[in-house]
Amino acid sequence: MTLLTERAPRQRVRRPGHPLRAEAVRGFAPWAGAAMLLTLGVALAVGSERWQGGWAETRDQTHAAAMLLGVPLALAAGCWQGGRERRRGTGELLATAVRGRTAAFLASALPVALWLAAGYAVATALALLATWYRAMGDRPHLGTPLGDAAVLVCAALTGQVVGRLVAWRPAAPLLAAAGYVVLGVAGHDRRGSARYLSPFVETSSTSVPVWWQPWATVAWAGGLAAAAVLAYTARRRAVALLPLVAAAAAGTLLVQTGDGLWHTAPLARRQVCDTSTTPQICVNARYKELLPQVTEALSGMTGRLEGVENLPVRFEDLPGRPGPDEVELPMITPIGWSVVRGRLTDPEEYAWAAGMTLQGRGDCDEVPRRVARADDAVEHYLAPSPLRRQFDEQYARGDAAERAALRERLAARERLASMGDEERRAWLSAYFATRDECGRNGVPEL
Amino acid sequence: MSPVSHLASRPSPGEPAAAVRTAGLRVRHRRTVALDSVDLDFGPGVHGLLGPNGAGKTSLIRVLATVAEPSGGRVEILGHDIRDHRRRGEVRRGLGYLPQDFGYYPGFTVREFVAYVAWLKEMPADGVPAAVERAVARVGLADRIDAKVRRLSGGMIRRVGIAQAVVNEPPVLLLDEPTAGLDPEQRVEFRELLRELGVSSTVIVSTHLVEDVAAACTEVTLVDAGRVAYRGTPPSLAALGESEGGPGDHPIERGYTAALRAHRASAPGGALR
Repeated sequence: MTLLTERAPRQRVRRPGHPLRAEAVRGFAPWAGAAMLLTLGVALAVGSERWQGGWAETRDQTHAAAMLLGVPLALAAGCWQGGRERRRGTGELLATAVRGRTAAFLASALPVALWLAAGYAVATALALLATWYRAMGDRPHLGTPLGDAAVLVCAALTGQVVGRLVAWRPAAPLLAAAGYVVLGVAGHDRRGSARYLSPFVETSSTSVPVWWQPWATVAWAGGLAAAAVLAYTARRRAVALLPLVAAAAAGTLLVQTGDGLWHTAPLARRQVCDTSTTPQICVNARYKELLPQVTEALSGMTGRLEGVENLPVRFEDLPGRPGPDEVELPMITPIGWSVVRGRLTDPEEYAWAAGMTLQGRGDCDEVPRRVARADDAVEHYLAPSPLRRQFDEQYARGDAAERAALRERLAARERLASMGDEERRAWLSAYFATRDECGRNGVPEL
Repeated sequence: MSPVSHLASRPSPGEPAAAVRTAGLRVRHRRTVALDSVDLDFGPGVHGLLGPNGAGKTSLIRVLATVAEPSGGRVEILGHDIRDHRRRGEVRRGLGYLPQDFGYYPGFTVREFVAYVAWLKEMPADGVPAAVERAVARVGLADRIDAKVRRLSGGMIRRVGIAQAVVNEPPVLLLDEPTAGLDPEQRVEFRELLRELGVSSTVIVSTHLVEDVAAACTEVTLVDAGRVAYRGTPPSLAALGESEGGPGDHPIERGYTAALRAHRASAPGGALR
């Protein structure tokens, strides 16, 4: 300790920076952001085959991860930070502050909230980058991630209020668990109108929110968080009524709009087609970049169908049932099965599935043996199942009836394969004229 | 000077105005009365608050620091009633406070922590960097200003607490057990700092260490059982000890015990709690 006369020589004064900077770079806040990044990063990476390549799927997965994992984490982190003054014994110093309680509260709470939002933003940016690399069409959906980031900030602020009020160490994990349960239940609720108030909404990847839905959710959650903060910090607690009124208005709007908050994306109602094939091949515009791969996968089958009549006009890929001259393209979504990271996982199996939809009769409980034989031969000719050899071997090891049936099927395949091109086209034209019929009438003999 | 030789009174012409004044101050903690009918005034100088454990020293300091609300009576600091919320900011702007249990953020550097307190005190931003360096240099931590607080010894952390209290160069400085954790050399240096601060500020120091009072204080107030037992100067307290012959190794210790005994003997009903 020194007297004035013993002070150190005059030096250039170094600026300590804004106090919020110290709060932002020291202590708990950066760790909270890192925890958010790690949590969401792991959760997204583990199931990346279910969203990478699809912008809507990426939106939905990051939304689910942010709400079910991020919000509980933000609540817990805020709650832990809220208990800091109690743990550190700095309450007395803060109580003598000239600066208002709200400002002092925000100086402590905002860095944690913003670090959490930054962790979420980085995780989301990485997910978007991963999808951009394998994008199949569509465009990024940014409204929902922006709304989610704001909800995370609100959760952190609310958690901080709880942490200031509840002097109990398990409060943070218990608050996180409660947040998880409430959001999980609300998100999966399909009936009550209160579900529209939940920031976590499970929707179809073909749906998009109305443009104001994220902002109304932010107003709802933000109003509640601001009311909690002001009720705790403001000297005149009545000011908390203002954000509470805003939250009530936004909540009313959300509940009254109900299912109208989401609608089918205009893009999902469109498809892109390759009209050079028979039948034509169309894929949904959401993943239009897949069209060359699908066309290539079906090229063997469509090549064999050149000149054949009575075929459906096209494979279609729109919401709802196909038209009378159309068949449904085998499912591409949900991503993670036929398509992973913008690639068809098994083109051979995909072609087989397409061939089966062409034959129809999927709704028939039972078909006559002769028809089944013809179906098997056509299936084998157009696009055999990758498992066909195994099935045949299984029949070959079966009882006498199964072995006889196998012999008949092999003979039928042979007959179809050995036909001349014209004869086969004529036979296939006659065969496809009877698609969707479950009886034997009209199905040509093979 | 006799026990409770003078209580709060208006300054006479030529006498400096009291920066801190209490009248009929009463503080209750649930059913316990911590302070009762305390009339005090403190002008520029270093005022030692002495008293046994639980006497009410910390309660008095906390009320003066505007941390605790008085149950009754009036407290004026720098001419403002501290119950007037509109004036409370003005009062706090002129206060420096070191709590008995000083809390800090271990991840902050000394510079950052003291600057944070300066921000809480709403000091003008352009003056903060120099004020921080000045305060830290005053407590002898200039060479550790960019060290994290968690890396400092207990004594150094106490000095950080003093630095944050003086960063705004307050006209009223409240220090609750400021020398706890300081080694003898640091205490000697701290007393020098106290004397320097007392030239222009009203410094109220709660302590158990009579040596601190003897060496650094211009006035001493002895509190017992929530009441003022004695007010005077350190030499007058030492003289009381010499004349009354109380036990103790130091003249002020003897004065301390003599004043306490005299107060307890005269107090109706004895202790308050």
